[in-house]
Amino acid sequence: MTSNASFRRKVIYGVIIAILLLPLYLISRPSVREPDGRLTEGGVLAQLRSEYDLSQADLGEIDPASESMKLATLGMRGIAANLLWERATRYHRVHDWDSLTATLNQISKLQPNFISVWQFQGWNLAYNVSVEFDDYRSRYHWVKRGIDYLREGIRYNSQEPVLPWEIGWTFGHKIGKADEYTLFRRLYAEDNDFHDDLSANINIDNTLGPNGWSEQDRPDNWLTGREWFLRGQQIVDSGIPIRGRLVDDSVRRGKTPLLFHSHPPKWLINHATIIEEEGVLDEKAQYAWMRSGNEWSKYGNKEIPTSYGFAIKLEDQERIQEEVNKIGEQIDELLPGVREEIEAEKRGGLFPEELAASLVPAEQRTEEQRELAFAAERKSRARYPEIADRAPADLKRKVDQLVAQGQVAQAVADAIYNYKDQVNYDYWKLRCNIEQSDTAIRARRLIFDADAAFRRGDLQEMRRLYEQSWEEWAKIFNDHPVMLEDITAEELMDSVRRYAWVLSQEEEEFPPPDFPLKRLLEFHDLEEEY
Amino acid sequence: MVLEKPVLPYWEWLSSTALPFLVALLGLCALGVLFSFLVVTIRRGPAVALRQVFGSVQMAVGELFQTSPRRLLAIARLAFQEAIRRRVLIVFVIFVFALLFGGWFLDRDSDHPARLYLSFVLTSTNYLVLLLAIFISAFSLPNDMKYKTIFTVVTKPVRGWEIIVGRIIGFVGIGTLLLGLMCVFSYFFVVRGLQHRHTADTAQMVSVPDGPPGTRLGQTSNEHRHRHDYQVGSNGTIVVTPTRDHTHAPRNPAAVSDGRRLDFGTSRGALEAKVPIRGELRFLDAKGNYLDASGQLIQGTNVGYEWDYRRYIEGGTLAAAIWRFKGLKPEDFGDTLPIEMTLRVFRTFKGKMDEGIRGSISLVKPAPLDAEGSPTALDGGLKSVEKSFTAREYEAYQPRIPRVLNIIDDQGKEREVDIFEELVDPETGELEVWIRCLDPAQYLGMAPADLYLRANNRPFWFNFFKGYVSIWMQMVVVTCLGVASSTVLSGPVAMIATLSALIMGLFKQFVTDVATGDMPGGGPVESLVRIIKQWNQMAELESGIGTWLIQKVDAVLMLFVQGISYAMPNTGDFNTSQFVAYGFNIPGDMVAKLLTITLAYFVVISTAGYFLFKSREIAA
Repeated sequence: MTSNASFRRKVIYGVIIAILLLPLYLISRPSVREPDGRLTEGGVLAQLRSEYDLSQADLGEIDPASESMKLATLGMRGIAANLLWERATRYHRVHDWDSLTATLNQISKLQPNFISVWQFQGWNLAYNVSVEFDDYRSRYHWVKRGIDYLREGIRYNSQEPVLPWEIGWTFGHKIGKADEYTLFRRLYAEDNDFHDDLSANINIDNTLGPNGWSEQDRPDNWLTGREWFLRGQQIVDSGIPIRGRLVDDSVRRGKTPLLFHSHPPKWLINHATIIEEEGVLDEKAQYAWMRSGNEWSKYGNKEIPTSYGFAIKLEDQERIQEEVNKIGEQIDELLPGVREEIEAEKRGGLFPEELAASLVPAEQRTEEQRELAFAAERKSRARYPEIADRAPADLKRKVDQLVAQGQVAQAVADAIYNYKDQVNYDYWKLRCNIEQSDTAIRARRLIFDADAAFRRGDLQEMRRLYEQSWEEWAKIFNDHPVMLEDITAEELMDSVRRYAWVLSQEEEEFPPPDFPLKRLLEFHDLEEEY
Repeated sequence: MVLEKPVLPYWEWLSSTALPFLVALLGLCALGVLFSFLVVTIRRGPAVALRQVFGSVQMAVGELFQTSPRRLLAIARLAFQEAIRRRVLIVFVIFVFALLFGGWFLDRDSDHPARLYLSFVLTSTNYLVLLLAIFISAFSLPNDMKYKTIFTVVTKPVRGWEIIVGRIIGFVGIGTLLLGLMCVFSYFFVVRGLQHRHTADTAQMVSVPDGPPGTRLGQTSNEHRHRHDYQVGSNGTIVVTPTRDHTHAPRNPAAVSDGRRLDFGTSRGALEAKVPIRGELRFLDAKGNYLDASGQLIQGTNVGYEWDYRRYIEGGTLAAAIWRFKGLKPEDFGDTLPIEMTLRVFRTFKGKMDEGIRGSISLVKPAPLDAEGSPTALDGGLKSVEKSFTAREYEAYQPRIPRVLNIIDDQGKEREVDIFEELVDPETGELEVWIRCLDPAQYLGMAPADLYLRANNRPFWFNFFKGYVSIWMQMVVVTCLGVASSTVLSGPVAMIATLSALIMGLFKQFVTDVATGDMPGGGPVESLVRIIKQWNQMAELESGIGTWLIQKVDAVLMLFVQGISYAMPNTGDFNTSQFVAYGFNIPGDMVAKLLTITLAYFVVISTAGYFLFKSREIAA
């Protein structure tokens, strides 16, 4: 009797277990590959993982070391990671760099898909730890370690665009802009073992570029950074969003698509700038600027999502603005004199000082008058709805239609204008065009040679070369006055000061009466110094 | 290597700690006797209590003298066999697995791979062995009591001491066996893991610009993710630049002239046991004073780092760091004075990025010390001509200081002398080493352990063995704790109690700081309130009855924690892995000190275990 009851109980338990296994199967059935290569949907969990790109295989490589560490923490990896993070901070404080890197490796193995950890610690090694060393070779070594840390992150998160972006940034900004960038650039260019390592991820041939110390093209840090940016861009172009840092459940802060996509061409521009600084002032520099210009235009024609809810192309601004103007003209044709009438009324409501400032010719206005005139112009401008309000009944419908079209187009044009302003689009476009001209290359060559003559102490040669270069620079500034405000012009001022000093040694007046860069002096108030 | 507390000579340490230890021990015994007396008094009256307490102590002493080594070893053998039956050897299998896959977790790009390898094996062994000790020691007696098998032992003429100490010896025996196996495996894992060779293509060598004629430079092949530079002199001598703490010797130097591939032998210098002779560090300020306005010794400059371990001296001023060495004997040194140092650099402006910061080193005859140990003058009047060097960080640098060198006497005249004849004090063997920073407005940083004289290296394998001896001592203490707590507690509770003691020992400083109120944030209750209310450690609590109550409860709790924290073994003190990993010999004084502490814990905990066991036996 007892054994029968026991047997019955066992059967019931078995049946209950079998029944419970069924929903478990439905929920957790994995996605498998069919013989024809097709991937089955899998259970509910597998589908959810696929929907949110959470499955490990989607994120990147599966590392047995990482997986075993996660298992070994028995589900407490969050706590373990926190403890390790605290320990890493302590190691940083006591300058125990070996233990710091060992701890960072453990953290990343525990939480390999936590992007912020890779980002933060990669930056920490390349920027914060590297500067703790006095020897520039050690600093470079730690910059590389930061880069390697980020590369390791990519192994686990191959579909994450931010990590290649960070590597691209570190290659450019840390190696190419640090205080010791001349030393870093050279160390990188000659680091064959590192190039071999990198060739597993990027095509190192694409990073070859001229430099100031060797006839041979060597891997260039800016071009290497660009290759990584392009890798990130490819991921984004495949439809994966640029994930930012999650601030709360609804807001993410991170790189905007506008900035994210601007870096590949910007790094080409930086490459062109640095090789000229190093003395590569020939057709190679011209080619570098031409390539930068082309890439910048390509960026201008790229569709960029905006926070306004629509996508834009930076190059479209002029075309759309023209459309807006045409619509305005059509409205003016339909309602002749209305715009002028409204503007005249509005001008009547301006403050007297605003009105007075607007009457002064633009080139004669003071800073204050410029601001007042700008305000006056903005206040007295006739808006489309105001014009539409005065349309007679028979034209009202058509005018309203045009006004609506104009408003939409103006909004797009304004959005593009704002976005262009953020990346200084027009300036860089113009700069790329100017720098690839023979005049610009000649002007820079002369300055470079003159500065070299100054360092040699050959003051006569220096004076001769400077005077030749002023002619070339004058042509550039005459053709493109906007360049007077440029950083290049500021750098040129150092050479001008050196030239002024040479003249003073020879007891000559500065500026000489026929000095071609008088406008530059006026612009930078240098005349007052002498 | 960072050495925040100096290692005191054994006898100096013993003389300063033995008395407080004995006083505390006697106090503890008195408390134990008083407590027992009170408990029995409440239950049976003072007369019986007095008789029982006295009887117990008398019996304990009697049984101690009746302890038979044969019975002790028999119990130990039983404990050993029991542990084997409980498959403790599985721990060794886990360890072998850890070694097999350890390479996955070790950073291949580390600048100091030996440190990583050694830290890894020592730490993993440490944790595994301590966990093993806790498990086997905490469950043994409770299981025997649960299944009544203890009666088969206690009914025989076996003394209480023999049961407690025998078990400890048995469990320590199995632990020692495992630890020995781990030690051997780890040694070969480290040696094999670091061993590698390089080759070099001699055709790729380039001549040295601005170097001696005929000198050429080359680079070895890339092995273990690094290369070495090597220089071939005009006479064919090959010098290999150390990288990642090691170097190699060429096996076929003739290959350079034959144009064949150079073959470099296995790595050297990665695993060593340096013996540093350390001195005391003091500073001079920028004006050359060694005392400040209040008569205190100058402490060097804090350049703003949160960690105050190193102090800095300003360049281009009279500021200096002075190490005073004692007991130097001429017969211990050869033709040079083997000084080794690693200094830190702090720049207040960029300066020349491709050049290091320069310092100078000089040997100075020390001024005599006064009764308080402070120097009576700046120096003893004689000092060697300053030798300049470029500071190197994070690596040991050895400026070559010949034994016979030029000095400047108090008349300002230069002459050649033997260090031991003129600069070293003949009676005390004292000598000072002065370091100055030469670059104005730049700083050099140092701690006492950053500069030392080097005696002959000890064998690495012996140092490695000593590292394992430290782990063994921790295991003994933990086993004693486990066995003692298992006499009155059930297995799982005894395990948790021992584990807690171990963890408290690991964080002893933290626990003591919390207990004494040095750690901001208050005691346990206040901390809990702060966590719940999300207040930081420094925020003032609202004044009121609630806060008053919390603080009073905490004060009582902290007294309790304070008592426990003092009694807990400081497990961190037993950790000598840093010495082995950084390539420094574990000082004999330190090993002797740890052995003494282990012995003290063994005696105290075994005695406590004996009495607890006896009380349990009586109750049963």
